Amino acid sequence: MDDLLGGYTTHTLNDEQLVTRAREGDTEAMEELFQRYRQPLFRIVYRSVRNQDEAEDIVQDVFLKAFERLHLFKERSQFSTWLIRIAMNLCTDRARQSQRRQALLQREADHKLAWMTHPHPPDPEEVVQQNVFHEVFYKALNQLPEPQRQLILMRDIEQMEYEQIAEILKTTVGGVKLRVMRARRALKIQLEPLLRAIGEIE
Amino acid sequence: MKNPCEQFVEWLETESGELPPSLRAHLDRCVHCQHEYALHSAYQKAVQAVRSEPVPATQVQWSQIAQRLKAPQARPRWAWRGVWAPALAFGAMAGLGILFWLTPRNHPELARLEQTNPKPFSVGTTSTQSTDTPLSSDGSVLPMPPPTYSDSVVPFSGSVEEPAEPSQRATTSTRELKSEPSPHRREMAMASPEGATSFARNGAPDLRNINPTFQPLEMEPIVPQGGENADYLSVNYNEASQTEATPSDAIICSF
Ligand SMILES: [Zn+2]
Repeated sequence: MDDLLGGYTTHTLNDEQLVTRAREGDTEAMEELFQRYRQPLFRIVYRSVRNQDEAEDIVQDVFLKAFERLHLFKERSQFSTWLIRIAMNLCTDRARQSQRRQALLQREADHKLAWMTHPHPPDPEEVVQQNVFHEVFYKALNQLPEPQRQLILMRDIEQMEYEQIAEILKTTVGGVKLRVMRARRALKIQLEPLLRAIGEIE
Repeated sequence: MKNPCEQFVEWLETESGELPPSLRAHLDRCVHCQHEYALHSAYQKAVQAVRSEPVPATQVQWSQIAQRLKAPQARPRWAWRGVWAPALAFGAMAGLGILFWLTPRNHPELARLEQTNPKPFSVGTTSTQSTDTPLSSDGSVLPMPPPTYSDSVVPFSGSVEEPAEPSQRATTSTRELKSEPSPHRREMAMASPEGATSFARNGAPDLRNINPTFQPLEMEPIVPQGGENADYLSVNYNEASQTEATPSDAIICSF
């Protein structure tokens, strides 16, 4: 891992320096970039697809694409932002390809929801309540168009800054704020009957 | 100026800090805004629950990426575009060229030129030049006077015999064209330089010039099926098509 030839260890280099070296074919620089971002990237992807195997496939593809297209990376944006953009595009592709999978996930979510709202659940109440919220949230979220789904994940779940989202989506901060507002409104419309069903609102 | 309900919803959705006192007073007495507030609070709870959901640690290892980066199959699919695009374009151009070459020319001027300059008669150059074509013993062709044709009638080598039933007329001549040798056919082939070519170059032959008893079937007029809103795309009968559509295709667009 240590790059003794350059007199530095790759740990001490910033992303920009690592990208420069990776562009020249330095696999240690690539590995360092991979180690830095594999888990944060996996978290975002996992929350989008909610399936470990699929999330890992996507993460592999993201790094592969990123390193193969490193010459296309514009240094105006951060490397991490670029990775997220690739990841979001791949998640969108998957979502388009696998509408059957979405239907399956939806049925699974419905089943879990029915089980957890059963009058005598075996788990402690608090845990069940927490899980009910997950399922209700994802059931509503999966009803949204993919761009809105991604906005909610990035802003409300991952708590990314508007500026970073704007960079990922290649748009303005104002534009992102407006789209996030619309996405929340759409999500609330989907959530309302579900929250009422679990007694969270009247 | 937005009304208090709109202002309140905007405050909820733009995460703009503390609720101003004026809006708090409005909230206390507005049922609609109380509902919005309850929904927003439940939304925040759900979001918090999802945020606190544990995410497993990824099992993806650098060795997997490195292996795929080295492997030839890791070549991106788009890399082949550079090879496929010109190949496909070349193929399409060649296909169009062949199609153009094989398509009968229907232009009147071309037909006229071909009639005034008949191609030299040659043996064995066409598909219907079968073994029953008469040749002299040394293989040369007997000299024949140049043919004369009536208006727009082109040579036709098929024979038309009077069928037993009128409904068999078309099929009989087609069958004979393809396979059965007949004396008429030999005569036709001998009588014309173009005689060996069984495909007319100027549309279908007028069979009445060959057999006066032949009666062509009358075309039925197209009756619009979609009322006044039906629109027909033009269809040319007896004209070779660039697409796979048959001459009898009529496309009806109703809207
Ligand atoms: Zn109000």
